[in-house]
Amino acid sequence: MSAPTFITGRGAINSWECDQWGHLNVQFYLAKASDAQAHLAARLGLMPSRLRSSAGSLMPATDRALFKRELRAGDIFFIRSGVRAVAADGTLDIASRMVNQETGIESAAFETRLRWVGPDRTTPLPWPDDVAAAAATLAGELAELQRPQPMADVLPMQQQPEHLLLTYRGSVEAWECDSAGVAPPRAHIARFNDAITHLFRAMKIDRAELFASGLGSAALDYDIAYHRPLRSGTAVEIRSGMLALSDKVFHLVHYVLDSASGEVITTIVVAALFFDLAARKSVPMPAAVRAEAQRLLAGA
Amino acid sequence: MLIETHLGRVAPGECDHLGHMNVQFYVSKVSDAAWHVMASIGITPAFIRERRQAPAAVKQEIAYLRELRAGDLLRMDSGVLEASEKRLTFYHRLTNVETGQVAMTSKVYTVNMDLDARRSTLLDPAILATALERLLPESAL
Repeated sequence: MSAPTFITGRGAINSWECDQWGHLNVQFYLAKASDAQAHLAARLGLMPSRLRSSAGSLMPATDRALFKRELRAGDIFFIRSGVRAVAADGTLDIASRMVNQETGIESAAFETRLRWVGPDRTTPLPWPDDVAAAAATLAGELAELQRPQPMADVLPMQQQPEHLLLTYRGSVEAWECDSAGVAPPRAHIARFNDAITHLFRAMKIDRAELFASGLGSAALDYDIAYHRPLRSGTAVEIRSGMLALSDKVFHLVHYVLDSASGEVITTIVVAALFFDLAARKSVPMPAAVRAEAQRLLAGA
Repeated sequence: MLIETHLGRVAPGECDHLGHMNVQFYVSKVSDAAWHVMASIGITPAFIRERRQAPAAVKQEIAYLRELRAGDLLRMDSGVLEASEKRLTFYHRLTNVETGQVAMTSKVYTVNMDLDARRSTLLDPAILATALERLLPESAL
């Protein structure tokens, strides 16, 4: 029997959440998924008042996000979520699907591993007994939320992050963070979004020229590992590299690094492609871009 | 008929120095909910894009009943209060999911607008009929 799922989010896409390609920017998918996760957590007994007073916190350990269909300003959506598994060591695997409410078409899939951690937002804690029991009751195969295929195997990185391209440098600000000064997934994604423009620059792609040529770029698939909390006031940088190329899809990696310590805060592998802005269909990578991507792939 | 039109959470960045959600974000959530209640009577995203018309707010009444804090889980329920040839009035009720307490109610008075002429225009007859069928009874408020 399928485990239950719940409507955990409902909203609309605003024009100020859309980017130059005319669709919802990736960071807002993750923001809406985070809100939905909070509604699912409440069903496990982790209501807001308890989270405020508890020494424990929910933190994402990994995120897989598959972007399946564009959402545009004015679209309405809902999110459905369920629990796949709960482990005694304090991890909780949950799944969410974001659906265009008008068309019924799935727009995005999220597979998230959450962790129950201590005040340092790092040390794993065992689940409170009642939460573990509630999660165990709800956990199981989610017939409505089929597991996605694993991300395509990509070549392992041969270089250390510090030898990759510097694609972002900035700081984490208080207004991005929760009351404890820790940034949510959206803040990580916003930085990857900035980094890609710099990576494109290294590939001799000018975003305005790309737009004028009728092409845009879109992420298909994110595989994210959150290694450490991203904290307010931290100076961070991103190092990026090309991992693999095919006719249409290219894979790249971003490392978010603490600029002071060099520690890796977040790793993300991205599958992306180019698409025709008028037809809203994917296209093969333009030859000139492909040549530059090949150069990056070779570690140039 | 009241339907669920928003399910979300108060973001830390939506809270002011008084420690609660600032009034502008109540309106923001009403705005999000509006697209759902409009779709429920046929004013869907596709309808708006194709027919180039949509209700535009001309007046709003809000009762702030409870404060909301960062992390609070929210649900909005909405429906149609009044409908006439050019006008729709929507009712929205925002609830704190954890406490079940109603945090805000709002009435939004709209005039149907032609998005090209930027002037009022008649509602589509089928939409007006659906709105009239679904009018909220006074007892729902």
